[in-house]
Amino acid sequence: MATRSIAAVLTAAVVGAGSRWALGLLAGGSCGLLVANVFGCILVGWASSSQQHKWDQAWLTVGLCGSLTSFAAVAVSLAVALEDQRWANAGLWGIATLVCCVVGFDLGRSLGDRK
Amino acid sequence: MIVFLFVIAAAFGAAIRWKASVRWGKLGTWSLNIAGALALGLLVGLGNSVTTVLGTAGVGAMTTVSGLARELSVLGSNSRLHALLYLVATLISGVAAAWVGVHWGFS
Repeated sequence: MATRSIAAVLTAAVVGAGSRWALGLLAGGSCGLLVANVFGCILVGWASSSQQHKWDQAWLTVGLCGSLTSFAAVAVSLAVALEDQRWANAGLWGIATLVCCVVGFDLGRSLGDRK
Repeated sequence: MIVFLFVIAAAFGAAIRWKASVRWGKLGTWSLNIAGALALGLLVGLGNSVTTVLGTAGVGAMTTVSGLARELSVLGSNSRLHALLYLVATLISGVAAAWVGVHWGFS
């Protein structure tokens, strides 16, 4: 693994995690997390179809998108809602995240295919 | 100081995920997502700066939704059933791990 790739991935990871944290502050915890997850899926969909150098792919997909999105935060939100017996809230939140991320990924991939 | 720790934790979390996904593929991503869900569940009740550094930066960067979406896309191009099973297994085990963490955690 080239030093440049490692540096790029780690730097992008810090930017991604920082952006997710900032989105959480700006848009509120759950809403900011949803925006971060959907945006990360759009970006990774775009990156998976567009022709880029391997170095670019690594920092974008592994570093930025990987750290911008967080599965643990989604799982904990759902677990807290289930613990509090807010079944409808948990169901809606889970379905919204799932649908928006899948649609976001497909949207990103179709944008990448257009190039 | 918190900014410095945030940077270190985010870089460390991403490095672990990168290494695991290169070495073990989907199994690596799944394992880290489940371990991260459990860890974040345990951390939920701790103080704000600890949760921000370890939870938001470290565990947040270690787990991923975009990587999961990408793996589902690759898996779905061969078999939609396998992709669906992988998604359901990840969701159920992830929420169960997070619930265990929240239930038995520091809150």
